Amino acid sequence: MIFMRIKACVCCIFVGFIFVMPMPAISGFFSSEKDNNEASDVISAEDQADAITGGGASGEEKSSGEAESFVMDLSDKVLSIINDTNTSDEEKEKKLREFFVNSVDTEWMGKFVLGRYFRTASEEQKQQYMTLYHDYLIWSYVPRFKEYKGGSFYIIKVKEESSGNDAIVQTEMRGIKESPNIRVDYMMHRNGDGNFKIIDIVGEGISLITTQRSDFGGMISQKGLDYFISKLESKVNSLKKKSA
Amino acid sequence: MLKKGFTLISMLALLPVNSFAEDDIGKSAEEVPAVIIAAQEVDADPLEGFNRGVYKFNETVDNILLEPVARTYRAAIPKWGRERVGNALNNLSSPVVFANSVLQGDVDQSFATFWRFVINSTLGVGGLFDVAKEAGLKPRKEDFGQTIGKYGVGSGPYIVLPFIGPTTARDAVGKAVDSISNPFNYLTPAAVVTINTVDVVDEREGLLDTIDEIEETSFDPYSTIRSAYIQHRANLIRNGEGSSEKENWGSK
Repeated sequence: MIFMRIKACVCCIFVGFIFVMPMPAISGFFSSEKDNNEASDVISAEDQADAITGGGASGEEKSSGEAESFVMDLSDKVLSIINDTNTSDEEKEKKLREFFVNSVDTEWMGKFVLGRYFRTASEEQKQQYMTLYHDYLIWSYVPRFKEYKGGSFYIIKVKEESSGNDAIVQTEMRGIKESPNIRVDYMMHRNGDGNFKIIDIVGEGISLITTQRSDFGGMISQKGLDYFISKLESKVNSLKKKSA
Repeated sequence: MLKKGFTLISMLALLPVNSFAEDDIGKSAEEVPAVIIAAQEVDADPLEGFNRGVYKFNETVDNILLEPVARTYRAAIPKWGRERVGNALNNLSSPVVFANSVLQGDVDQSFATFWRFVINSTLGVGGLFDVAKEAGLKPRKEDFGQTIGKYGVGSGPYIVLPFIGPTTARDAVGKAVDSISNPFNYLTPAAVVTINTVDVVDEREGLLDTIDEIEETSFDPYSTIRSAYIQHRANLIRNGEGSSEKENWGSK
């Protein structure tokens, strides 16, 4: 018995929660160190200005560079907002929320996350849920961007599916406070209107929507959809209050 | 005792894992893009009833014992000291990491782990300082669960074990093999107990903020943890999608 390493009952599984929590909170859990020269593109607070003035990079051509330039463009804007010393935190968050809404397909994500329960939900439940999920995602995710302050963003690799409709952009956040480098992959899907939108954020191999689906499904299978929706509503309200 | 444990675990390994036949997304949503990880496996949980019971038990133990100890540790020992402890523990795990790197046929990582142990045990003052990392020899976590996973052994059912926490049939076997093969587990009983106790406290301290956050944001923490555990292990086995840069510990 003495040989058995008695591990913490809550153990190391939490490590991947970087999308559920502020990145620096998991400091020490991940440090996937990459040599700097592996990164093909670098945006940091210092050279942001160049990146933004040269912002024509987000071309209209639907070539293989489209997914990459989409993420580059997005991160330029996000980092410039975060590191702008002239705007108040409130204003920053408002701007970030706008960007978030425009670049993330919350509708698709909401459907995926509810999974099989979406099919059996009534129209009213669907409507309630979709509105709440949209707010839940925004209000739980956007305030965390503050934690990226001072960080730099590196694109490691861009993989596009042969169809050209799906893409993965592998990135790494470096230099956030004292945390180790964090690998974050963005899954993107081309919308009906032909534009790329983010449909999943994968932190160190753990997918946001997959984990949310397990989380939501766990409660719904035990307590039912109506109960879950009411809980979602109170969570959204408390998140808004916390942020205000 | 150990033998009994093995029998139980190997029996569990034989249990069929429910594969969910129904498509998760349903017909109402658009087709799942190819980039999304196939996700049925994270919600397969044939032992859910048992697991939830043990989870509750572990939560209680954590609340009354482990978490308070971890908070005291954080409050009493400055970060610098805790980093030294974390480094020393990592150094002590080197034999297991080395053995598994060899078994996985990972020559680079085997050499890196060997030299990390030699350098950190000497220049790094018994592992207190990770000087090998500064020299470019990066730490990585390898265990027997990952090794057999790499050779195609499926995870088996998800199991929550008392005190030990979330695992799968495969990873439980892996943990037992690693414990038996770890030379540091053959020191005096007092030393073994001390090392393992410090290890648990160190690990829990590192998780304080994370767990607080889960308790605040999650709707069903049990399911959230199961899903994340399974995804995390799969990612470790892939070494972060084939890249050899993966590590999940090091600078604590």
